[in-house]
Amino acid sequence: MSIKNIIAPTFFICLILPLLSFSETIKYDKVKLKRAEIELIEDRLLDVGIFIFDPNIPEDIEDNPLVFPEIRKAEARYIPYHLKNTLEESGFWGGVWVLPDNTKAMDLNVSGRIIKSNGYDVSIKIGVWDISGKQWLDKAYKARVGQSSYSKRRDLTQDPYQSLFNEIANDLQKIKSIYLSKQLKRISEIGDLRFASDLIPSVFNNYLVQDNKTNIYKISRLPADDDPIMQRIGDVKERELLLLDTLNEYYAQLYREISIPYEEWRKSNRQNAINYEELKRSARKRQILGAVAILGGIMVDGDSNASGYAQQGLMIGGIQAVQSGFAKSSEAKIYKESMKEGGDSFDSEAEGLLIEVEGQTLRLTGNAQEMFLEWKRLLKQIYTEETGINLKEDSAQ
Amino acid sequence: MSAFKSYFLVLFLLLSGCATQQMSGSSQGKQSPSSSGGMPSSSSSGGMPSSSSSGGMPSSSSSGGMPSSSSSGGMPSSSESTNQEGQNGNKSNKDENTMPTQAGISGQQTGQSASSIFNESLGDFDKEMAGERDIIAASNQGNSSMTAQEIADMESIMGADLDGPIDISGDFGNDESEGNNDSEEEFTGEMSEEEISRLPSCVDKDGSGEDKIARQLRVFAIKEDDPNIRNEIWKQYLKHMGIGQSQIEECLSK
Repeated sequence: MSIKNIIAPTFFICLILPLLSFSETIKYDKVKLKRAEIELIEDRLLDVGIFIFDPNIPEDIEDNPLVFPEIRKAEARYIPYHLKNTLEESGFWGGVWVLPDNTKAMDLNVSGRIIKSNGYDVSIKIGVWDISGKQWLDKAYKARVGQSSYSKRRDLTQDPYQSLFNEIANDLQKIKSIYLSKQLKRISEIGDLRFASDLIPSVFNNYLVQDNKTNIYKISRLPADDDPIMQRIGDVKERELLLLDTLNEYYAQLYREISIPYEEWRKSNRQNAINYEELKRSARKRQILGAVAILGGIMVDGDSNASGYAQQGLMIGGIQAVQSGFAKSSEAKIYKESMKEGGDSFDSEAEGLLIEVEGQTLRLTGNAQEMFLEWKRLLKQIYTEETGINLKEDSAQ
Repeated sequence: MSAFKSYFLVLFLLLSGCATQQMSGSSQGKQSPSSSGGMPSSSSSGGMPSSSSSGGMPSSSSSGGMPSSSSSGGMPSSSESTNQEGQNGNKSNKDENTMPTQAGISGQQTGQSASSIFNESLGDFDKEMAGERDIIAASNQGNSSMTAQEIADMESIMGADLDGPIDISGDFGNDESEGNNDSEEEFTGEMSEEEISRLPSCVDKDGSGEDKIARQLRVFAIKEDDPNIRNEIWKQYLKHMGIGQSQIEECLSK
């Protein structure tokens, strides 16, 4: 027996062994939410605004058939709302609102981008800034969702993606815990002044200084506690929060209406995604294995009967493996189609709900815009009446 | 003679051609301003936008951090709004949905101080929001969608050995007709004279064809004392009943 005859099968075995021995053990993380054990003092309670997330819909939607635009848009509202619920549940925060747009009424702003969400894998990028402009967090969160997360016997207030929500909430709490109460209070004061500066820039711009390099705001002076114009600005801020409360009622409606079909979609999509990935992996393995076997067969050299049988066996086995690889690949396509069908169905259901909530949001914010402009004008007039100082044309800070 | 005839014929044709051209020209002249959309449409300012934005957030605004109004909201621009000061601007074609900045303008005309106008407008805004939340609450009560937790709770209640029917409609349903748990049952409660007077002309007294949401909106509207909020609820009711924007406005203006 020549050396070649020994090397070829050994080479072949070395190649296929890692493929055969490959088995995946999936560990599903369960992150528990940290909850405040005692009621926090007011200075430690920051108001949090969570922007509607970036749905991250790819431009070339044709090339991404498993990304469903309307589902993504619904998720972009559902996920922030559930994060709001989680933060509220933790007891570490003041008011928490979902925001349709930028506002200076919040102490902490959370923005997010959906990277992936198919019921099995979820990945979200989160950015958090306080109102002074300081960044708290810039992190991508990932979670793999287990079958038990969809169980009807679980605590149903917990979303299947709950671990991810808990992780975000815990990280935010951890960062906040580093701050002293007076530092947190200072953030709120900066927030009040930025809000005031937005309404009457020519009066309140001087109360704040923005660092040229970091763009972070600092307080240069504070208004008196009983400053009447600040009290009125506080009244306007309360109305902004009232408007946000109302808008959040609409988001809550969407959240409620979508929660069950969304969970059903995620559950079925998860199973299809697992099957699809598994079949795709299996197909790939078989095709590689078959190719290696054919290659091994070609490399077997010898005149003996044994080497002839080995060559024949490897060639036939290889061809069969490649064929079964193609069969698995076709089977995987069925699951892909199934995911597409399920997605398309929920996609159109979500669209109707989204149109409703978006319409209400635009109507409310559009109407409120006019009211706020009126208050802005009145506040300037009141300031002039009370102080005798004529204000110049304002430019917002 | 035939040349003479031909001359007349040509002359006649020329004249009739000019007349036709003039007629069509004048009709175009009438059509063009209306087709250009020059007339303000009252429905566009207050009505629900027919389609939403593509999911992106509205652009950020510089006014108090509030969201900027979009074209679908149909609100006037900031310059338009601020220029209204001291003007006798006719705002009668403005939608009732718009929040009441008119209070401020009329207040100035009647010599009210800016401070009192400000306080008044805060109150108006609060009322507006309260009305809005009433509508949301009404639609929530009428909405059959429940969270997974609520459904689980319901299932466990239904699974338990309980005697008699379970009322899940809340206080609202009880106000109308005692013991009535059928969401599809039509509104049959007797109305007082005052309540009847609060019904818009186009709304049936017997509430035929109403579903649960419509029925609850009707009750909210009838019970609402503030005419502006009541009007708002009727709008939602008629919209829910599938009535067109122009018909809604016609109905409520009567």
